[in-house]
Amino acid sequence: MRHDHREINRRNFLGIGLGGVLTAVTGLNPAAAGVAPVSANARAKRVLVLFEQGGVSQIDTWDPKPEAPVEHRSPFKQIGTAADGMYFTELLSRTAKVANHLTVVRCMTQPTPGIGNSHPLGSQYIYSGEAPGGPVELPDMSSIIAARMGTLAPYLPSNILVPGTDEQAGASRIGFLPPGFAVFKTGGSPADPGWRVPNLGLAAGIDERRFKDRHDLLNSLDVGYLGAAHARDADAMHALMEQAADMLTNPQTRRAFDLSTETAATKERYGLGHRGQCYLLARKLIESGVRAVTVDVREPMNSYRDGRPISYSGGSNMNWDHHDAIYSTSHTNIPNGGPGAGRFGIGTWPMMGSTDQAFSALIEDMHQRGLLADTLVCFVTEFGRTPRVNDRQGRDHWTSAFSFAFAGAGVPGGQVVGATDRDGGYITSSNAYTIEDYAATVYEKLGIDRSIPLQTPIGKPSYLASKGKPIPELFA
Amino acid sequence: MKLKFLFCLLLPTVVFSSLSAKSRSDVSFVRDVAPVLLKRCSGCHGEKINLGGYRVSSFNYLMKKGASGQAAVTPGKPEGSTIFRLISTSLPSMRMPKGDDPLTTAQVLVIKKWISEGAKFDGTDPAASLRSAMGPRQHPAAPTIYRSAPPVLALSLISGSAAGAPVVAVGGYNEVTLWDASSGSLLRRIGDLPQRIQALSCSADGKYLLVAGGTPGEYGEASLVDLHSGGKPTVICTATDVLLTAVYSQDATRIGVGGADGAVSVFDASTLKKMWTSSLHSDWVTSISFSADGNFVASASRDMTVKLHNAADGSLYTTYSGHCKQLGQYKGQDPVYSVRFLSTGCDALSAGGGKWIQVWNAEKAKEDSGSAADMEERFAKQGHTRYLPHNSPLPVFALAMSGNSLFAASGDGAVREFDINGLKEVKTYTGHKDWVYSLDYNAGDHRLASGAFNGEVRIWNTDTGECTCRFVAQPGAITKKVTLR
Amino acid sequence: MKLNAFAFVLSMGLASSLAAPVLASGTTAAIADKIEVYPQTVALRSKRDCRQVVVTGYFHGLPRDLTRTAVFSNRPRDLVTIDNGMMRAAANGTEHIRITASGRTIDLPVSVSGVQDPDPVSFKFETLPVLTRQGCSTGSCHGAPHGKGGFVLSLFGYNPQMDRVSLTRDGLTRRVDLMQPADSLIIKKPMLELPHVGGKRLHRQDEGYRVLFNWISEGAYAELPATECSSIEVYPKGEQRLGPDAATRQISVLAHYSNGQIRDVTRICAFDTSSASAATVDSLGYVTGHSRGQTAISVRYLDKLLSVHFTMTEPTPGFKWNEPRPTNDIDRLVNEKLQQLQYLPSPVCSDSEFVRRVYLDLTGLLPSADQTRDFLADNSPDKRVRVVDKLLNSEEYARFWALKRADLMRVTPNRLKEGRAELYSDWIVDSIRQNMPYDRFARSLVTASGDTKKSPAACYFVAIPTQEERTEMTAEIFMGSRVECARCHNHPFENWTMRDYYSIGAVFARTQADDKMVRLASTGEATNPTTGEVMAPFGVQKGVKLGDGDDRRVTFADWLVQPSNPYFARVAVNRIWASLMGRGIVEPIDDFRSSNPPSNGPLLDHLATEFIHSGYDCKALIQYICSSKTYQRSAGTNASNRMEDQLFSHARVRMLTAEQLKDAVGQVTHTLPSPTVARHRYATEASFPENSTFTQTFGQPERTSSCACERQTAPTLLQALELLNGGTLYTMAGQSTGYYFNLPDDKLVEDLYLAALSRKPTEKEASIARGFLKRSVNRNSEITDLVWSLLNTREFIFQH
Repeated sequence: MRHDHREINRRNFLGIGLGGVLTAVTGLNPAAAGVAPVSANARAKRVLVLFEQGGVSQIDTWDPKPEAPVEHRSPFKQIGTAADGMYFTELLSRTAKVANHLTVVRCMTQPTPGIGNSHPLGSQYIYSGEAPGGPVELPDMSSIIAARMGTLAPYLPSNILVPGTDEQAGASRIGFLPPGFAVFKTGGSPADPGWRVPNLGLAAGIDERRFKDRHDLLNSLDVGYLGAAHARDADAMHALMEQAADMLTNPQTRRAFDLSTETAATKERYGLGHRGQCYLLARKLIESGVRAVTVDVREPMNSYRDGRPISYSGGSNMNWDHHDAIYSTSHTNIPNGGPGAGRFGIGTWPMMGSTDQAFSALIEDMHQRGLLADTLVCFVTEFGRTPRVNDRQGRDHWTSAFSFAFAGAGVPGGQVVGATDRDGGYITSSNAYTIEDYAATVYEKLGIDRSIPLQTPIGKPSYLASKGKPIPELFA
Repeated sequence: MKLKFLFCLLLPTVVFSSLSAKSRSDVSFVRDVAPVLLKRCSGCHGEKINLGGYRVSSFNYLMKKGASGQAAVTPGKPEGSTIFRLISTSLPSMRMPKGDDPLTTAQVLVIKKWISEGAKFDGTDPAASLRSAMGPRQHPAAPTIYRSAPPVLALSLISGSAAGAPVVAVGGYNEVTLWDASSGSLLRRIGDLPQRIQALSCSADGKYLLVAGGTPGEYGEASLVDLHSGGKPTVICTATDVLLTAVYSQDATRIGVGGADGAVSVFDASTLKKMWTSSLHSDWVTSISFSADGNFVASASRDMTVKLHNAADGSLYTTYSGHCKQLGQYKGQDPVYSVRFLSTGCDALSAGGGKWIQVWNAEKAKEDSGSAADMEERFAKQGHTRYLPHNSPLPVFALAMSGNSLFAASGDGAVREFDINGLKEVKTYTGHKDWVYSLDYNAGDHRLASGAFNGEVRIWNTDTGECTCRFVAQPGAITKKVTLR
Repeated sequence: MKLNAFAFVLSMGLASSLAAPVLASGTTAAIADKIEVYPQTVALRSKRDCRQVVVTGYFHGLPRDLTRTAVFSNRPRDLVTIDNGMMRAAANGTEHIRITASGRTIDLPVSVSGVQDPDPVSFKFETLPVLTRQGCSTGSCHGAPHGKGGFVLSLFGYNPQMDRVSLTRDGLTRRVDLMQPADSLIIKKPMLELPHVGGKRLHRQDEGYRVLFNWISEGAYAELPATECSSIEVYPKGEQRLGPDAATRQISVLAHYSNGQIRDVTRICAFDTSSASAATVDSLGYVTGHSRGQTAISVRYLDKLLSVHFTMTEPTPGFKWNEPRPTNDIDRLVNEKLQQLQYLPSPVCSDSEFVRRVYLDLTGLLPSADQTRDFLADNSPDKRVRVVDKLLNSEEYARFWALKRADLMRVTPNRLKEGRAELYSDWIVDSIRQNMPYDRFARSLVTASGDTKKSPAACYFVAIPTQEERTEMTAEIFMGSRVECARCHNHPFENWTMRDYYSIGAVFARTQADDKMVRLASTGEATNPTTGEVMAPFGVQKGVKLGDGDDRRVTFADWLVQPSNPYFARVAVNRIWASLMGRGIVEPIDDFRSSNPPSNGPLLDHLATEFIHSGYDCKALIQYICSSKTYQRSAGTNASNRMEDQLFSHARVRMLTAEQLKDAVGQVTHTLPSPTVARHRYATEASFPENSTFTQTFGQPERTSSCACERQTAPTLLQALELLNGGTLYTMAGQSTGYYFNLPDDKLVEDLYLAALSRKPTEKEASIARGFLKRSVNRNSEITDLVWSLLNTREFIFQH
């Protein structure tokens, strides 16, 4: 159903400086189309980023520190994993069983002190893969991937944020890219049985035939108007409507978002709450051919279990920002309050319990479905937490050392990269990696040539993750 | 500028040794090259920060390839060595150190010569950090004239001099000075010591003086001065940052040393052989004390804890965390500056920031700290500790005691005396106009000495509470009086 | 009081003189028309006294910095040393130094005295600023709440007591070495002679090195005199222009102290730029322009911050100003800026574009087909002005503009129970209907008390219950300032200090509100948590003591609305301007700070002045803006202004807001009865957000914050899906047959185009539409599909 003039519109909409990779956007796999030389490192066709926002405590999860001073030590015991010599804390007991698929990088750091030491900026750092606050606002990595690689499934957005309703989801930016590449936010809670992506699937009374008629009429009448040719938002809306039209007429679109096609056992394996179902939806979208899926989730106070609403008492903001009472067995609202009050202790179900369940299920499931072969999975957070426990029994922001975990697309399993000191506060290994390095890794895995820059509107080249280098241990 | 000129005379060791290298036939790595690398290169290519994947923090690292894949040093061929090319190039954009002043010609020549002569390592352990490979420093002579009074961070009453006049040893600049404690006149200057003196401790027989000090951020040294022979001090150990404490065990058989590198080391007092080192603190070790029963070594730290080590092997016995309470009546998070065991049993006192001197027992402290399992309980626990309010708004920097008498020197300028049994304040010694950092007490002749930031030393009679003598520990006649602050 | 926080300077005379074309290369050797030196005399009064001299040459009226090329001669006695124009005392005496630059000479009388007397470094006024300048006391380094590496400084030196302890006593006195100052940690670390996480921060030739070294050499005295820095003075002042031939300017900074002393602090203050692509500034205060654009160069000294605004111009080949005749001063000021930066404005829009735009802007609704027909048929020259007048007097205007205000005031039944939200909303509508002067509006809100049912304005305090929120919201709404950061520390980018924050807090500390009543208590204070100081209410004049019975809010309101307030009128006109033009002159519209300069300062000043003179008359201001050519420009761009989006060279294409879109669909489909019949069914006239899926998808705010940013404006895929497939459009398009079914095709198509796009269809469009209708499979569904198609065109979805 594509007409020539629409092709041209698409290219206009893509706009600037993408040169030889334009073909990619028509939906062809660039490798198959022979557009770009494929590096041996390019093992990923897709990337799934699990962004656990708020600053997950490295000490309580991926980087256990049993020798830390007792008053600052995590109460959660160190446990062995399926991989020899690899240890997590007991909060990751399920994940420990799939450790043979994981590389845990314990030497992540933010190289310039303070740039990303707040949630909005730290989140933006994770989304864009580069330090925020530079002369131009940088696009999200997922938008760049969408622009560079196009989609594997034209009836779906090529970059999706699940669910994209969280506090810091606004840190996601389109920067100087055309707005059409902005990440698609599904909204809502997939755990809610009534949840749908709004308006997917044609409305009653409109069959495909009639929709096509209408749409043809629209195309002949929507000739634009004076000024629209160069108005960014109008251009973007036009392209978005093209994409929406594709999505509406393809039955696979709805199926990609339809969790009812999953078995009860699978759903249960991920966990029936919000986080588990978001992780499951992410897997479905990857399976359906979405290039870049990002999960930015926090278990809400009002979640669903077995289709019924449940609620947690006490807290309100359930991200990982454990400034207070990190080891509380319920909510963290300590007497006299504190700046980070209002979530649950890290060891509780809404926090690490559901995360361990969902993440281990995801790795296991993706492995069984063969998706790990060409999907890079990244478990990331904007920074770590202080090795010391503060006077409100919490841990504060810490950018000197934190942990990421990776799987799939040739990432070696059962590997630990880097080491921190006895308290988990500073990197002691000779290798240390930055968020820019993480971004470079993602681009390298996807085979995106970082030597071809993006062009900013004023015509300056902007190189991808220019300050980073791919993390070598992930390419063994 | 006149002042600047004065400082040029006080040439730092580094420059001195590199200049002297020119006249020698060969260049020593540890003596000549390592100091240059340390001062000019290790900021960017050091232990924590290693730009370009390259570091110079040890000889082995220096010779290793960086991320560029090129070896920095090709022995015998300076022109073929990246390191030499980068420090000697005339292109400012290429030159190392990047964005900084170039190395001096003398420094470049030293490195060039060392490479031409085969880039040999002449230390003991090529994997050891540059600082430790360099060994003890040659200390410059103490200034004959002090342009200002250095803060009295350490002092010690010299024991066993009952026959003669009382003597107090005071930390100076590259020296320790001995003063007549009744007249305040300078008796003797003992040189060849580190830049700053952070701790002084006299042996019970009055023969030896333990000295700890160093240069902040780069060097620490503990040494033993034989007060009678008057020879060059014997270096016990060196460290990568200042050493802040050096003490004898109560039976004088062992010596404990600790400092800003966070380590606690124990030495045999007769052989000066190291028995063990423990690096459990995450911040400076400010004070060490041996228990009377010989079982424990306590170390106080700016990390807000006191660690109790088994004296035999240095293994951790328990951590006392009473200065880091987050719940309950006695809460606060404060650095600990001083710890002292009582002369019997294993009861100890510790103090630093916060409102109380804490009195506790080593064995009970272990029971108190329990397991890590329940955070809330751990934080709320008051334990067996007794809290002695000291009423100073500023930290207590030093404790001294004997029998039932306890003295605390504090930032508010006062020295307070307490009765340990009764847990109450007995007397206040006022007069210092600045922060009091150091303290020593001689129970035998009821004499107390205290030293302050402004260089003033005061000697007190503890029976009357009177100040019997005071002087500014600033050797050398100075023409212009430096005003005290 | 922060009246000096903004350096808005009217510089129209200067700007117009800049209109002459810049001469191309070869001018460096040219002889200047004249040269100027600042200051005109130099008097150095102690041995470390210094003064930055700035030499400026004028070439065809354009200033060019000559400081670094000027030759300073006739100096037989070497009274001063000079480097890059910085004069430092060397010997006592007086002489006239001859300055030669670009073929001109000028004599500068110089006197030096007091060189023989001691001139110690001041801890408070030199050491601490240097720590700020070198970056030590920033929030990401040692100025963080717990410092870095065990070394804590107060953020930008706001707490000298603490810094003094930290530098001289803390850390067992390890940071300064009085015996060998160069051996001090605070010198060796930033010099990178020791490993330093913050990297190389200090070079031996830096002024910072000199200050730190001398301060320690002299004994590291950390006395804290009662003297304060009262203000800083920056030269050059106001708006400055740079160009390819004159791309640099030297800045000079003087500090004035409360004891009457004045010192040059150019070498110890901190400089920064808001747009590095336009111009950068080095540590000597030397500004270098790079490419076309505008930037604010900010100067920070202690807690004082000022900005100088620079415009970098570049000649565009073939640029020829087409001199549209300005209708009023708005056009003149906009054109001056456009001409200076060499952008050609778009022409005035057509009547169709105008009528659609002005209806949407003023009433939120589309003009009906008949209203458009009448307007197009009207041939009188003043018809645009008349339609603005008419609309300003409509009920729709009052309600639509009330909605914008209510968004910020958090008018929602979730917060305001038992009908109070309605009463409050009605009160706001009425204030706009009556054209209540804006100063009175603001005063009514911030001083409101009593039963919230009888005095709905008092709901202001019910909707925002805490002292902190009142402080932050009042500052955001009426002062366009984001002061949240000052809750915990002095604002790093602005002059808002913690003292200011808690002083504003003190204004509201005695205002108690429950659901029903707002009362004034006789007690209640705000305390600065760092110092424990009980703050005097903001806005109280020095020396005036308020009695316990006095309403602190009244005093504050007096301060707020006085014409000399640098924020109030500017923030108000900027909001109105942004509503009409799609972008503020300051953007974001509630982030006024001197480091976020207006894109056209003289324009903002002019509008504020007019607004104040009119007695804060909002309607008059709207009328004034709407009558300008600037407002009436076409959305179409030319090659010159295509990428330009902040100087108002063309109309801004923007999506209809959620409410406008909802109502426009209703109007075109004739599913909404006339407003006079069913006003409550109009989203643009409702008291509260309907928060339906449709309006939420299109970015309607929930009214949970006072930030204009709560309204989302970027297009999304969900919106595209909603338009193509959503129930709202589908149902309403289906219902449109009720109106269109019986119309003849010609009339149907014309009516539809007039209703949706405010224009008649082109012949081609009409024939496509008629062709579609003639398929006669099912007239109902054909009409539905035609209406639906038109509602999905960009021309409909967007305002232009």
